[in-house]
Amino acid sequence: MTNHHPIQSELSAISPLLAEMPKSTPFVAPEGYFNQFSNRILAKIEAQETEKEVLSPLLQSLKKENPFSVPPAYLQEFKVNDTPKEAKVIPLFNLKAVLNYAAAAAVVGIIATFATLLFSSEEKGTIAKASEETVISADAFDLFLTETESIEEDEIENFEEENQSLLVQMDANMVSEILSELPENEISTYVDLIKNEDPNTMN
Amino acid sequence: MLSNLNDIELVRLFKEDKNRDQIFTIIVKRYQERIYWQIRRLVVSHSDADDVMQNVFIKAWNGLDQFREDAKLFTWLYRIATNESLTYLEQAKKKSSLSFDDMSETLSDKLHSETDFDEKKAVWKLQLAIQQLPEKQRVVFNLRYFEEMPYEEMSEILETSVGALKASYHHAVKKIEEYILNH
Repeated sequence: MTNHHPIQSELSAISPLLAEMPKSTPFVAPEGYFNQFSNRILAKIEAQETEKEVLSPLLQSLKKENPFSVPPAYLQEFKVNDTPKEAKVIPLFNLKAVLNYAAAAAVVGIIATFATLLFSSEEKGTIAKASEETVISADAFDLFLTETESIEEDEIENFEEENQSLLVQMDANMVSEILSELPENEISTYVDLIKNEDPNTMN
Repeated sequence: MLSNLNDIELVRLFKEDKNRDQIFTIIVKRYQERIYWQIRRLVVSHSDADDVMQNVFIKAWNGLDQFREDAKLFTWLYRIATNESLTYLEQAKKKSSLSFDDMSETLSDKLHSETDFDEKKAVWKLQLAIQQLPEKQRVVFNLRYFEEMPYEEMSEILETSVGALKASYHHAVKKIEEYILNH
């Protein structure tokens, strides 16, 4: 059976099953619904209009008035522009914008590099200054440690003795020379001091 | 007699503020059934359909002054009805925090609660299958299958290309067929 109805033919082509099914809606509207609907809707519209009038009678009275006017013969003479406007081409990849950003990034990078170098050189200077004050280089310190480790206790004692004997080797002539230069009252003060500390001294 | 006037003449008289109530009543009676069934097939229950119907015709009353006569009155009313139905379903979904799957289940439940529902019967099975479709696809299927509406007219109502509508209808029919074969 050929189906001349184009919509039915289209349906048969997509789904023969659906094309064979009864085309009806099983829903039912309440009895008298359509007879009463227009009256119900008008009643609702009337209630709406009354509400609008109560809220703003002025607005209700104005709404149908159109204050705008059209120049004479405008609509009759209106023509669509024949020459098509060239559409603005917005490139997906804007080279100029990218170059601008790259230049800005380069300037920021240069400034940041200089700042880093400046900061790090100041730091080095501070460290160097601190190093100068502390004087000792690593090699010198290592040498000191090595030397001190090798010094024996005997040597320390001998050094102390030698230094003491140096003092003892000062002869009487030298002492009297030194004393002659000092005022007498200072010498007596000193002697008193020594006596107080150790009565056995200077006897 | 006013009821013999065509849509353009009726709209013109309405805009001239002449016998508005009478003219609007004629427009309502002329299209109420087709609009009702389009809404009912989307929202399923009568009480929901009645709510949407009222919204549609109140919007029509409020917008008829600005209606441009280059479009067909029926196309304009259908567009309002479709948008109001989809808005109604969207609001119902939001109110109950339903997902798309939950919503289709809710509509199926509403089908089950209909008088004379019998899932063994082909017509009910078809309705169950239709409720599984995404909303827009459901609209396209209903307009093409039940209303036998040309794609060009559908394109004006739904503001979608004819090609997209054809593809949508094709997918809808296939999904319905699959549902019927598997249930």
